[in-house]
Amino acid sequence: MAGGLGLGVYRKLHEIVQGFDQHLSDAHSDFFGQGASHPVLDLKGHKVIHDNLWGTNKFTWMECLLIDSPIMQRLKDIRQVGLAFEVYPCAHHKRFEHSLGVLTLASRTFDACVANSSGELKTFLPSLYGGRSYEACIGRLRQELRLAALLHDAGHSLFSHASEKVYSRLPLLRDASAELTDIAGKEKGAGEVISFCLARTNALRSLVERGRRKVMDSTGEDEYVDEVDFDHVSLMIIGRTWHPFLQFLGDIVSSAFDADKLDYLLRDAVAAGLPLRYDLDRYLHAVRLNRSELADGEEKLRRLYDAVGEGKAERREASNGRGYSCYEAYRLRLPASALNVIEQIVICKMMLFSYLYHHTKVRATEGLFERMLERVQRKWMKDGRLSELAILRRYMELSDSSLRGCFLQSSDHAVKRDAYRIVNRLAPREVMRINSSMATHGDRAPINDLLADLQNRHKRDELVRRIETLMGEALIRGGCEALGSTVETALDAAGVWLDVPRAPKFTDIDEVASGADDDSNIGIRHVFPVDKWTQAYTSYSYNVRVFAFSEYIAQVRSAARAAIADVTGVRSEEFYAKAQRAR
Amino acid sequence: MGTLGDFMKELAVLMADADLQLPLKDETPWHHLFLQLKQAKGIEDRPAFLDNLVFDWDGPAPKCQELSEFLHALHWSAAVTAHNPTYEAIQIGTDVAERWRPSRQTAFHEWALEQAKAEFPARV
Repeated sequence: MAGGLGLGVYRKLHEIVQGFDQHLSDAHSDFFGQGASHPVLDLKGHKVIHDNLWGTNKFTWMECLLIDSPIMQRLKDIRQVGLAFEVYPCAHHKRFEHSLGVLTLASRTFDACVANSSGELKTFLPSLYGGRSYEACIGRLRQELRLAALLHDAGHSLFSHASEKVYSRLPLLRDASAELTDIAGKEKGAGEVISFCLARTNALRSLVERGRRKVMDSTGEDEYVDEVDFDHVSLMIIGRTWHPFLQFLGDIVSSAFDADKLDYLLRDAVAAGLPLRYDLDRYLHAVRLNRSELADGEEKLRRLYDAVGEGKAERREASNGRGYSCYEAYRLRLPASALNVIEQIVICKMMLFSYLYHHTKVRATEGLFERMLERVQRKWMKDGRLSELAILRRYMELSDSSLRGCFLQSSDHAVKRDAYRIVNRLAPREVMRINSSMATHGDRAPINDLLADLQNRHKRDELVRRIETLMGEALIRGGCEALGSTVETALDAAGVWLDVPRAPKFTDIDEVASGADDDSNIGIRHVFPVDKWTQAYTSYSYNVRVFAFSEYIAQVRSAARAAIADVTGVRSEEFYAKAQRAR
Repeated sequence: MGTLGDFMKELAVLMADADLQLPLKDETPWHHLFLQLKQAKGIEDRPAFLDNLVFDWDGPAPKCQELSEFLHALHWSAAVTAHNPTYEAIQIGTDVAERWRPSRQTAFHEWALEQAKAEFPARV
């Protein structure tokens, strides 16, 4: 990368990077402190690691150095699919093997792009890198891409997305996400903030620099020893690069059909024992670079490329007549002739949502876990007991084992109770479910409106709170003494909440398909009925649910009915007969 | 009219009244329209949420993820129906339109509708 991406103006990101440096140095001084001793022995140029999905693969000394550091080792105790093992007992696979898998697939995709490209890379790479040889450029970019893929999930904490939902509500992370969105020119979440910031720590660079001096045999073609730019690695993690011609590298790490998805779809399916497959060979055979425009109507990309590319990126008027400026970019694309593999990937994703991610019991267990963690986080934040940065550092120390450790041993009765319920599979029960296929003619408009409003990002929380409050009030009116006398105690004691999963998105697939023999982009949705499938899935398989502890099902059923009737005005027996879940 | 979703519903009803087609398969006009609304400052009754609307610049045209999610949620929740078999455009039922119609049509509604007329095709 020609210039550096200074984070000076991005105060929250800067604060997090500094906080991580301090944390790594304090918690793992032998790896990242002033007198760090690792690596102790000389390093082999490469090592071979075998994966159950992708077979035998070589990892360079640099990758092995990071893999064998606490940054990556902690992922060995973080399950990829949270608490899904409560339903699929074999789904114990971890973020660790997923990260190695993403590295492998990112690398294979890169090699396929290089092999399938028709000379474009040879034309522009040497000039982007100051006249270096094409082979040297390829070696460097390949290594940077592999590191980005390796580190893309390094920020995960216990039970992956289940804890991410809780810590992403920290104001520090919300502000940092907004800053990262501004840098990337596309929406970025808390998970990407943490991985981006980790990749920018001095701790990580210093470890690699120390390792470089200890590499033994560095002559093999896979044993890259020259410099790597960790700022560029961090940009790839958020789906960007220092020059728009290199955008395909960002696409390999973070886009609709990225290496992350290629790995987790198959890994999750295989671990859960679900017979879902897609044709990776076909994907690699078809994937290629496609030259297209990156519009920049709000000058975000200009700020990025000016900061990191020293003005090497050429900006011009977009061809769509909108008056936007744009950049020419090389994107990762699949031709329409690879339609079958696109279909397979979309089907895999849809089925995994149906069978696994949105499974009732998985939602119930993870929902209980999230509520427990929220309580813990509120306690940490109460009266400024811990700074947000300290909380973030604490999340970096937590892993799945913490559930049976500090949470099960907690002195807080409610935390201990919920941890006990989770480890003993005493998950709450589904009391009511609502989906759009349930409403009868007269009830359709208010029920559908409720479902749509629950997908309105800025209304969802308020609406959920309102319905939960109404349920709490109805429970108190019910007069059960064990539920206490306030809405909060009633909801907590009965284990009640309204569960609103995020609906799966499939609209991005439009952007990955390009014409078969020419470069004209065509929308994949014109040839593959993804809208119909999404409609069918979301109408019949996507549910908003009310959960409650088994002991209070009867009370909560009637409270939920009262709350939904109050919010929607729907009172028909027919609707509630369908919505209420019977044992 | 405090959120994108609320404003989209109100504007969609006004657009349907004005015989404009409401595309679903090709979302591009929606994103272009809302970018214009975001960039239009100083118009009376302009909702504050527009200032915080985030657009992705990751292709030949802008894309607001929040808008896209809500547009599709309106479809799959069956709050609106889509033209079969190709899902080109959505239609708003009479009962739904009455629920969504703004209680007061503001100057900003009028202005947004004029922009929409230039951006969206007429209903065939």
